[in-house]
Amino acid sequence: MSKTDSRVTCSLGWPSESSHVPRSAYLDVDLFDIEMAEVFQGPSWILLAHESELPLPGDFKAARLGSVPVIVVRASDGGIRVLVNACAHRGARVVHEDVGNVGPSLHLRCIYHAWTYDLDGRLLSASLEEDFPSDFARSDYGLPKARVEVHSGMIFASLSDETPSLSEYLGGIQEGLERSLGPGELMFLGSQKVVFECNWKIYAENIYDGYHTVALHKAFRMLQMKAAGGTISAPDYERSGHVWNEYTTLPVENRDLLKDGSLLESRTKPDNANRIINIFPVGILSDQLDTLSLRFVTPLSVDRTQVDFAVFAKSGETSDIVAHRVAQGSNLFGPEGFISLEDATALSRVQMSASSGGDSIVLKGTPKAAPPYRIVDEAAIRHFYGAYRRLLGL
Amino acid sequence: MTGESVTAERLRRAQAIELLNEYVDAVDSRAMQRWAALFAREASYSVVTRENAERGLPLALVMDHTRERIEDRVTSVTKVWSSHYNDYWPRHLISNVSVGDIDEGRVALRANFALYLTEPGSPGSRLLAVGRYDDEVTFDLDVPRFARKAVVLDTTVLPRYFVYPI
Repeated sequence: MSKTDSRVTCSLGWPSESSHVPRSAYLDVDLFDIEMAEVFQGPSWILLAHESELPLPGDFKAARLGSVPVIVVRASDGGIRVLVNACAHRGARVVHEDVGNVGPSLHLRCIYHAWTYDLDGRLLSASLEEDFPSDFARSDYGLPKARVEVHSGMIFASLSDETPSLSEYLGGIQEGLERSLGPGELMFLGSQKVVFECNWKIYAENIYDGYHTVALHKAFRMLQMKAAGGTISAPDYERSGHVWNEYTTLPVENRDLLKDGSLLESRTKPDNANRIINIFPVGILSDQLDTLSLRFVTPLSVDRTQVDFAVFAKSGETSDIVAHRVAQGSNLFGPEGFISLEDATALSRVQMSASSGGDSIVLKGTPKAAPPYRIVDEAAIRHFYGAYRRLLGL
Repeated sequence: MTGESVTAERLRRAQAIELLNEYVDAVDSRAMQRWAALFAREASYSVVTRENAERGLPLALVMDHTRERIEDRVTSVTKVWSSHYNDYWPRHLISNVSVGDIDEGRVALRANFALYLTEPGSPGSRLLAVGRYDDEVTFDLDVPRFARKAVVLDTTVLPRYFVYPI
């Protein structure tokens, strides 16, 4: 679908003020289809996995680029491929599991007519080929490959030839990603997968919104757990939609609320630096206390968004540190976490009443026209929608 | 085995099943203090997905490895996550309960469960998760308590978050 089509199809009446978002944008089914085609299958790099999830040749995980099912797989040369997960013959799903290994043959075989591919997507064989038309050429029937680039172990894919290099796309947030993910290897500790009952943009906005943290997350107040300071920056905001939250924490003041306060300790960071980065459109690095995680976000429908939290340790860490990361990743910052659980409730309530009409409004910090903003501001939401509207021509 | 020990074993098995019934009644009644009181002095409560468990990955959805963390969960649910987040009613359906001896003082308790939620403002009820309990029950002066409550979810992608223990 071309951009001209999207302008015609999408009659949301997008307001000219950049601090307003029409609530219908969270409900419009046609707009959702356009977003899948032009944002998630368009000139964007979509965060799909981390290399440590797929250590061995043949290791794979299923994912989606917009509405296109793909598999992320480690090939025999050690490189990562992202292949469309639909047989070139009749379109059947080739790999059915969510995660696994394709087996020692390093082949992908469709169950329906036994069409068999290598991990580069090349068709190796099909059953009873002798009865095919004489001009049949296997080379015409591979699994389409997405472009793949890796940064700091993060695996990105794009279905568009127009997407600039990953380095150019990430721009100024690369430094933050590198600071958190470091030069060394990571150890994958597991995933938590939950559906948020909201539009993917409501989920994304939450990362640009420092305002809600003081109001919604009661644990911070009850614990007297304060940030020593921080900023929300949006490098390259004129052309990109990424956001970089950076803050330092102070020790918890109220030590009486919890019987086991060790959950809140920071044991790996002498500088107490925490950061949350959203890679436009929606791929998240969260590095808070000792919880180092990536969030892979898959829009399922206008009102449902799957978020897979993947949590990591750094290679070479002691078993005590790894155990602490596992406990904190499970109980503090996960989807069921002591601090983070409230987000799911608040975001679903935005979705529930989106049919009220009118606009959602961004106010706090907006007297300042350009980043950086304070860590308690919501003004950076404007830059997410700036990039979104430029991309869709809205 | 003497008749006396057979009777004692039957009693322990019956007590373990009664403990499971009390557990389900406590969580379905949203009675967090009563829930915590069903754990032994040395106890753990965890919720993991089968996907992580089968891949040998340690991350959990809930990991309360000590009695202190179990008590902190009571604080989380009743004080930190104020009533706004706790407005659904859970209902557990339990099946295939089995009790096996581990040693003199402990029994293994396994059961399947399905957990439904009924939410204000939404018609009907819905399934949150299915899975199994893989528990250990200890006896302190003949009173059964959970030494381990290990919840393993078949449901790898939860359709929403949960607040009350499973």
